[in-house]
Amino acid sequence: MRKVTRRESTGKAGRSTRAMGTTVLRGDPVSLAGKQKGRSFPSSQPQENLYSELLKSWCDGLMSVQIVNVRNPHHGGILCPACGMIHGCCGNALYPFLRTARTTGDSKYIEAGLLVHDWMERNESRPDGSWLEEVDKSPWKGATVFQAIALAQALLHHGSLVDASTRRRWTDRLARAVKWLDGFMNIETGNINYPITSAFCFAICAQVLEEPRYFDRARHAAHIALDYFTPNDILFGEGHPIKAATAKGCRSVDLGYNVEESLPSLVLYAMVTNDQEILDRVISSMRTHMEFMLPDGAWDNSFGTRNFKWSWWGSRTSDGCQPAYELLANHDPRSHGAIFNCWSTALTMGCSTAARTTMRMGTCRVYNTPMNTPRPWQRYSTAPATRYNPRRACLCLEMKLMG
Amino acid sequence: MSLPRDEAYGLKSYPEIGTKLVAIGEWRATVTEYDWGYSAFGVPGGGHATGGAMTVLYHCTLGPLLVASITQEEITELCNQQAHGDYPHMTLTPRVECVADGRTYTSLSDFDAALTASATPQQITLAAQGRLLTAAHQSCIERDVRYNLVYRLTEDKVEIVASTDTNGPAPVRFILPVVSRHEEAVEYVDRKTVRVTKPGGYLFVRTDAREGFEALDTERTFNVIPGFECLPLAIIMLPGRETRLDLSVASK
Repeated sequence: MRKVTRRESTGKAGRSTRAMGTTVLRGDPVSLAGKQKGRSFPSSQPQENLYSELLKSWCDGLMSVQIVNVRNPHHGGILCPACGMIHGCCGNALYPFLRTARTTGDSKYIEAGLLVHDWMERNESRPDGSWLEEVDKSPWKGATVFQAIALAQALLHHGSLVDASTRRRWTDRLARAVKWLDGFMNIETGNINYPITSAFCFAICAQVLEEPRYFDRARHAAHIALDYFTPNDILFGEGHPIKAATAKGCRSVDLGYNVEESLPSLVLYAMVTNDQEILDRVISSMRTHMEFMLPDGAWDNSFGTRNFKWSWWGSRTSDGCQPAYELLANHDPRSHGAIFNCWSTALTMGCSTAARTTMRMGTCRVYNTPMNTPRPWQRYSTAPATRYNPRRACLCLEMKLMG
Repeated sequence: MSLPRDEAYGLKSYPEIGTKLVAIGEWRATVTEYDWGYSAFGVPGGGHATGGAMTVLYHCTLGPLLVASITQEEITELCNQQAHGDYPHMTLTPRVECVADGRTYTSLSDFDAALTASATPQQITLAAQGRLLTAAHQSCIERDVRYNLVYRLTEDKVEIVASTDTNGPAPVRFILPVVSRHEEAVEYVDRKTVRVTKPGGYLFVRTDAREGFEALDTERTFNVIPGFECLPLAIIMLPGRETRLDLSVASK
């Protein structure tokens, strides 16, 4: 295993190729694995180890299909063979790659993170500060909120793994992104997971950029969301018109997005800002939503407005419930069961190796590269897991550390 | 450390999503009449199951047995859904279905369907009435075909009773895709009984239909939503007559 050491950019092709103009740092791997921003944390907790192992597994899978060839215009992109494309959100992997570098002490994860971030910058960055969700298949720029969170978390938690000029470049880029979001995001933007997630995004950007006005923006976004809970404390707004009710009095609810995107984001916002009102509400809501967790840990989103993304291991393009329920575990012993059951589901269904296995599922249409024949159990793994699972495990780790 | 759904609490209702949760013995079920149509991003009309469909049946020992997919295959978000591969696939939601002239009418799409439920300590009963519609909510051209669905859940078994009031434009079937990996042994004990050997025990599915199951096949179907292989059982229904199915479990 190559260790995280002070090495200059080589600029050569191959896995060791660095992002342009970046120096990878720092420190001995032992200390990196045991500290975070000057804080010590226990590294031997079974649960934390589970997350770390899952995260490493997923990052290894992503790296196995990362394009590393300086002559390829998509150098650094992560090619999904099952979909035959580079998903735009793969740039989010910067953060989990850095997290894995810190956990393992292996610099290859830093290199992978730098490469994929640079791919995103070359292909999706817009002069207005936003990022496109997809290179050429969608003009949607709202996903900038997720890209900004990933970049902010990378800077906040693992900025010490890269050199000062890279940190400055990323910080400037983050400032432009959050400025664009400030003008773009409101409660009607996309489905409700977007404005709710923006609450966390503004909060963490305020923290990283040391710009208190974004704390105000975050609080505003979070407190508007309080109007979007039913009397049973189910969050609604995953569909438009966002406040409408049907003939039967139903609201637009997607259990998957609620538990795996919106509520965790509200939790993370509340943790960053110590907003007790939001925390109380989201804990109450999470208790209601937990009614829909099946005994094996699968979320029952069999009826959700965005049922088209439902899978037994979670909603297809959301981060995962674990950050939220990690918090709830401190308030409600039952949620310990929820967390373990959920990860148990992921493990038993083969999703723990989703990143590796899905990359073998089909024939890549973009580069016409034949992949290995899928094995039956791999049917359970679906491509978008490769985009989001690393962020899931990573958020859990950070939650534990923040807690 | 238990989850709410670990407990056999009986019946819970969530009117804001038109959905009822059942927990009796080792059975956990979800039945929905949720009428929110997801219209964002130009969705042509399909979406989540409704109409009083049983969208989840879970057994605490055997695991998931019945699940739900979207009502018709469609790509709502181009880059966020995986296309099906070269394998048999279908909507996995249990349903009454009639296919005529290239159109598929099912019990999964009627937002106006009515769902009621009652509970005793020994039995949970749910009943739904609605119309067979396409995923785009269109009724049969010649005349409406109305269906009745009754689910009776006891500790011992789950019974599904389905009927329609009249002939459809083509044969009407009850489709019951049972979650089953293709490695699991499937045995047709007779035309009316199938036994699936699961890791945790045997699942028996029985019908009282005169002709039994339509095809005594073991080929599985698969849907990425929610990611299961299923044994697609089908039963021809006769207008005005009830068709009964029941699912029960035996230990190995």
